[in-house]
Amino acid sequence: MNKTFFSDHQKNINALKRLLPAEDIFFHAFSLISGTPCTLVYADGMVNKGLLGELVLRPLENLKFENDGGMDALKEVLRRELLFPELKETTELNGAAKEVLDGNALLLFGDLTVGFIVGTKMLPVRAVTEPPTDAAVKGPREGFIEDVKTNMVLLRKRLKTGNLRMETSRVGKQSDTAVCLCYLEGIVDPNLKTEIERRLQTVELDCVPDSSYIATVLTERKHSIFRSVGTTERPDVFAAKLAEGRVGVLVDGSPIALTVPFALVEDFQAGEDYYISPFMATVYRVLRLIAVVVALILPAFYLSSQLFKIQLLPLGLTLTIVEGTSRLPLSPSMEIFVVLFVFEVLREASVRMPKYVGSALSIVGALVLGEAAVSAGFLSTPTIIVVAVSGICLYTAPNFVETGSLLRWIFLLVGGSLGPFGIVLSVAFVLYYLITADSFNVPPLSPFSPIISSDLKDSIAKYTMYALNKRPRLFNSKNKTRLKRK
Amino acid sequence: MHAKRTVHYYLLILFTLAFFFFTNDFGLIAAQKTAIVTAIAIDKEEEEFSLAVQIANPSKDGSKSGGGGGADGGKEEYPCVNGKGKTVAEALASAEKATGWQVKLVFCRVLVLGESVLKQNCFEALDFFLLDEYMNATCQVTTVNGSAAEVLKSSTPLGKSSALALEKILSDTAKTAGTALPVSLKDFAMGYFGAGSSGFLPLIEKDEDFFKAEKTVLVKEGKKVGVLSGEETFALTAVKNPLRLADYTFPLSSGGCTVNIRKSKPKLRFSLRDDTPTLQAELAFYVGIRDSVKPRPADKLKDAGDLPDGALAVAEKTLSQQIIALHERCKAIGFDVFEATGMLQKYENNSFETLKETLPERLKLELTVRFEGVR
Amino acid sequence: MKRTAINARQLGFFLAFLLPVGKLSELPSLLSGKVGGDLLLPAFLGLTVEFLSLFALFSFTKKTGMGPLAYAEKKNAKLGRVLRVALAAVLLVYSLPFLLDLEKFCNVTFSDTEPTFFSFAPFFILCGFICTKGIKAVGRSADLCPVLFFLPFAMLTVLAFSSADLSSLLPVFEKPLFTNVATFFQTAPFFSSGLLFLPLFDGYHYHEGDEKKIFPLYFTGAAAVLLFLALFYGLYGPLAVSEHYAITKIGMFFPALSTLGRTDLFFVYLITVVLFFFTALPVQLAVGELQKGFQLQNSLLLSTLINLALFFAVLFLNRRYNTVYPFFIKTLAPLYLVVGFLLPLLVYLGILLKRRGQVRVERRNKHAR
Repeated sequence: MNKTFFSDHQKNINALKRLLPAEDIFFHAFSLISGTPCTLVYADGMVNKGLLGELVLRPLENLKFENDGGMDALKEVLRRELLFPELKETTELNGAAKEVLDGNALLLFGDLTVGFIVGTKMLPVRAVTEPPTDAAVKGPREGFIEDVKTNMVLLRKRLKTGNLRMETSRVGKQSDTAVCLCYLEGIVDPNLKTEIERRLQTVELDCVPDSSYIATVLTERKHSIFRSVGTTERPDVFAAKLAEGRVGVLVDGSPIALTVPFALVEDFQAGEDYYISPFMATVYRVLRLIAVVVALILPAFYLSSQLFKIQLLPLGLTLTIVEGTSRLPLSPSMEIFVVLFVFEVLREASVRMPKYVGSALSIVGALVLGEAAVSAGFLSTPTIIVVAVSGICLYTAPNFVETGSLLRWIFLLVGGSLGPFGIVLSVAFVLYYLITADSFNVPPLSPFSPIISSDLKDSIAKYTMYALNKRPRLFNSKNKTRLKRK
Repeated sequence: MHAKRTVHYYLLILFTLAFFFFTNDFGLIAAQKTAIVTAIAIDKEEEEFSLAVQIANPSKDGSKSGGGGGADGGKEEYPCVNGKGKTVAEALASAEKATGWQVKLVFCRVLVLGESVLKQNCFEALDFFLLDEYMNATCQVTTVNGSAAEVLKSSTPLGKSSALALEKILSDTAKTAGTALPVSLKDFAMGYFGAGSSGFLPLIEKDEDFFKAEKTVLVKEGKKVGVLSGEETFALTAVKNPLRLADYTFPLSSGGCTVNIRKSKPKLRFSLRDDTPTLQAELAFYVGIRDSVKPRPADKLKDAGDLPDGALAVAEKTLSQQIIALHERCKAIGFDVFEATGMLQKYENNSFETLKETLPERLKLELTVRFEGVR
Repeated sequence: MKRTAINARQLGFFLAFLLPVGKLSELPSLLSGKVGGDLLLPAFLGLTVEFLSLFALFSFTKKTGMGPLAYAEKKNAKLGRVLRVALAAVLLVYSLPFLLDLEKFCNVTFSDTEPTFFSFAPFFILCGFICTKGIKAVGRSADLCPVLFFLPFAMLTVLAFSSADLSSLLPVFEKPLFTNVATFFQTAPFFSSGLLFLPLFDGYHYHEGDEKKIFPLYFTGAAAVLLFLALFYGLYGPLAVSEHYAITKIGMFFPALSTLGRTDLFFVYLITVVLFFFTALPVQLAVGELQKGFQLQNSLLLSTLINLALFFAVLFLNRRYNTVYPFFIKTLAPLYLVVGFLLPLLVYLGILLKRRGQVRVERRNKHAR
């Protein structure tokens, strides 16, 4: 098939109809006063028809044109008449078809071997609202949405510098999704950017419905339960991470932005930590860390202390547990497995079910089921308390929930079969795994292993803004200073 | 490919663990099926050890409590199980058979030795507990007159079980108050294996329904050699340990007076003077008035620092006399009450071999007791 | 600045936190059994010997810019490889008593009753995994040790302080000097860390001022060991000889624990993570040396085979603990001392003499000109 436009208007129309046979692609034919045939090609619902009418059709309607100056003269006339800031020319049929699918309109003018792309995109997008996964009491309430252009605008609002680069490429054979690589020139390590670009090119995807697909492509260890790409829904956090020397990725169709490299400590940090007192921020971070450790270890520890080492608990507590569990039909292992399983089911169901039944069923699940099960002698109160506490504690670090849930199950299995020995062994295993699981040359446990003393100031502890005057050494930034006192 | 294989290995390990998790195939026994021992009473009948093992058996019914007595029927919360054997281990095993559960000693709080055990070397019984890696070394060791099992099986209103009640009267608070001289298994064993090969055991007595541990049994080479009265126990405690919030009563011309020792500082210094082993004991007590027989005027009711005239001097004299009397008494029976043998070994090791046997009889005590009012 | 697999700070943390952990388990009861209250003396002697090995290897690396094994390999590739394989064999033998101790340690610390041996088997999975990682991982694991070791250790010593009677250590020099020296020789494996330094220094390159980081941290670790020994004997006195796995036993007498339960075990468990790293370390280094010696690519297969062999070895030797343990600790002590102490010293003296010789030759040539 011919790749470029024909010098025959009808042939161009036919070729485009073959490339764009869908019903929602409209071919609006009209002609100038002089009789020159024109066609406007657009996808229904994706263009601003009012703008098309005002800025394209109306000027052309009144255009008196004598084609005796040749192609170039014609183009010049059109450029003058169509005073569109986003007016591009293309000679490629495929390129033109892609632009139409992207939401732009294509103007075919007589027998010109060029099509004019008119930027009248108006896609249905939702309003910029507070991100549901990253709410904050203090700080901005804007969140990314599914439209990559809007997200780019939200970012540009916060980084009004010419150093902000946003390089868009297309990924996905069928979806042709726009993927925008964002970084600050002069701050980012060029090798990092090159590596990310290389990785994006190593895979040919079919469809990219969400940024998680891109995250998978960027991840070094595909089968690791620990993620190696950071995510955020907040433009302020995204901008701050770029300013530290990271590279960000915005994916069209996804409100979740990606940042690389990623260190595990980021899961225990919240955007709000930078808007409140550093002392409180430190307290909250320590609280999150302790809560996550409790969440991971508590069920396993509770089970292993019953089976292996009752001395870990005080006598009174041991007797309370024994008293509560002595008449149960299930073994301690089965009991806690069932409770944790039910908890996970409730959690998953509460996310999936319609909102109008969600709260009622949650109450049924949590209170009635739990209460009834205890009264019936099926489960014990201490076990329910342990699992509930563990469940709540894990949500102090929402980004760590997926990994944490898995780890909790692993620790439980290990604790129930090997006891405290197994738990300690697993902790040692996980730690040793993490100290060697570098991603983009950044160790996940940094700045703790290896210790980077300057970066420790913004890890679990949060120093004041003045103490954080240098960019994190972890990202090998060329421009190291970020705060200067005058 | 390598990563995929690694994932397969991890999955295999996880499935294996899951298998063991659900089948409980490491032979594990849950806490519900263990006999949690809280106290053991040991008696010796002829050549056989007789044990009464008190087990925690909590029940949701809120069944009868108290030392394993179970007087009104119903399920006992702390029953006592008997066992007999030529060794303590055998006796414990026979007690285990009665419960059908595995016995765990990690929560054993009290070991009560009967009078019969102290007639011979009590470490014939106690070394089992020292050998056991899982035995709680902070467990209190006590003794009784007569049968230990009877004391353990008796009930008391002070706690759900006799073990818990005994633990209360043998607490650190009792030690710092001078009302008892509790000793842990570890400390008792250290005394036995130490230079003096001696130690102390609180003597448990029953006063109506309540346990008392005012008296102390002197133990040398594992055998009982004497008993200290309540006063002597206090005197000994005052020399060995710092006291805190301990009451001390002494006679005054106007009647009795009780002072509260807010804190004390005992200093012991051992030396050899012309081959005479000398123990210099400097005891300082900071006291406030607690009560006196003679009523106080209204303006003095809240003043702890205002002690009756001459009270401090009388207190010093009384306590000094008690300590000296204790020393003389122990000297007579050849008992190293102030553990001077250990001090001899530490500070005058050159003379240790020559003096260790005769030290208790030759020890000279230079005592300075000082009472100071808190104001 | 040359990038190293293990930098000075990590080496320092290794010396301060990872190395001492191997001396906190069985060594205190061994020393107490032989010399009673004088246990600090053979320990001090041992730590001095260990420091001399460290100093010798550090100075060698400073002068030559590489570790002794790499140096030997550079001078004579075949000799270097043979030395690596030989060292690997010694390291594997060296690891056995620590593995036997760890198995029993885990039984006491993690259970209320004696579990089956197979419940210890998963340790070899962890060890196998650790063995696939190089010296870089050793350095990074050392970076975790301030949190995993130092803080819990500090807490345990605080718990122990209130109950310990340090006068139990008196009288000093109760045992004759010969007995103290003999005790050092009989516990030499615990102080033969030169065996571990030899391969470690291959991943280390000297930078200006490194000695100011490394040596003080070593002394800190040594002081911690001596403090621990003192507290341990202060707590147990004549009973110390029977109190194996001292780190588990040191914090339990704090008065509050009677109501709280054995919360000191949480600190012990954190230290146990470091103990796992330490026990796996000789095996890890041995696998690395075998890989270099035989020029193998696949560390996973080698690690699996070696750990499988060690598993069966420990399973077999565990049943004959009373016979084999003295063999590994006393009979093989000369081997550990020769390789871990004498060899580094000789190597350092050798390079010193060589340098002096070179300087003399240069001076002579200069004079001749």
